[in-house]
Amino acid sequence: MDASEYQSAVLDHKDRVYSFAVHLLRDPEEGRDVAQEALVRLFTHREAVIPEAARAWLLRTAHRLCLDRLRQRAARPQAEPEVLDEIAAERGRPDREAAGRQLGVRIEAALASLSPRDRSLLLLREVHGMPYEEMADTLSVPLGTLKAALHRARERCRQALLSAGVHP
Amino acid sequence: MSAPVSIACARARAGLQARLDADPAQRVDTAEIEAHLTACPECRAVARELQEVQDALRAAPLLHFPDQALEEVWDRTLRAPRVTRVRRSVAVWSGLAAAGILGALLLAVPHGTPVPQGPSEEEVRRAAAEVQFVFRLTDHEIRHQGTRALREVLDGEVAPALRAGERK
Repeated sequence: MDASEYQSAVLDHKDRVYSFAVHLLRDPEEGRDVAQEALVRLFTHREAVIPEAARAWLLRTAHRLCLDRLRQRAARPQAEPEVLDEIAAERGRPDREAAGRQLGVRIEAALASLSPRDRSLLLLREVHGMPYEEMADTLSVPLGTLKAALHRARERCRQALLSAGVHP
Repeated sequence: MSAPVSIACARARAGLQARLDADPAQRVDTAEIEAHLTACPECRAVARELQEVQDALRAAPLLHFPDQALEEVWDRTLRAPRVTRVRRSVAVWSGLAAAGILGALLLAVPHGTPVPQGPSEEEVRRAAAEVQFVFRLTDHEIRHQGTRALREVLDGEVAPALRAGERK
């Protein structure tokens, strides 16, 4: 990928990478940082990435960066809010409200109640339309395991909506 | 915790997931699923809810990656390579200069010969090791950068001088 192709790839995929990171991390600022870092890393590795693979490469990189951030948060227990308990509190945060409006507040709340792994599965598959093979590669799991995990994630998302007293 | 379901319901729900995936690798008996859904209101509700979860996720518009963040990406990538190249050239020339100086030192101080008031054998060995190290670094950098002029200096002047030093 040359500089011109890199520029096109960034313009084509920046919003997707940003959306993925924001919804996975549930934090627009951290999501922006992750998206930025993924886009910069693509430039560093551009000679090894063909334009057609840029989207998958960026989402895979963003996913790994998000996992790093989530691990750091795990070391600071107060950083990861239990969202279903905090929806009311979050209504006061314009940045999160904006993200919630984009995805649909109820689905956003349900997603937020899931584990990062389940969120990744649903975001990659349903929001970003990633094929199974790419997902298996991104999440480093066998294809069969991935499909079973995706089914469970969908079911948990549905249950989360029901538990919150709402129908999807 | 979801209530236990019958085997027929479990089969139908697995089929529903496969149908959501539209995965050709997963065989789905559509007629069997439809027959079960007709007879089972619970599974019918699950089917509707899963479909609505998927629809809501797929309908989510992407968030807009902030313009300021994009500018920072350009600053760190497409607007930065010139600086990087200059730095790399400086690093290469610095390496060459160091190799030249150390090479000259090596040539001036023959191996194994007692030198009154000069460096010890240990110092000479250390200098030789440093020269080789700098040479390897410089060599790698120049081959990586692919600059012919620099490579000619390295191959035509520095390498023969080092070889001559080793022979002595």
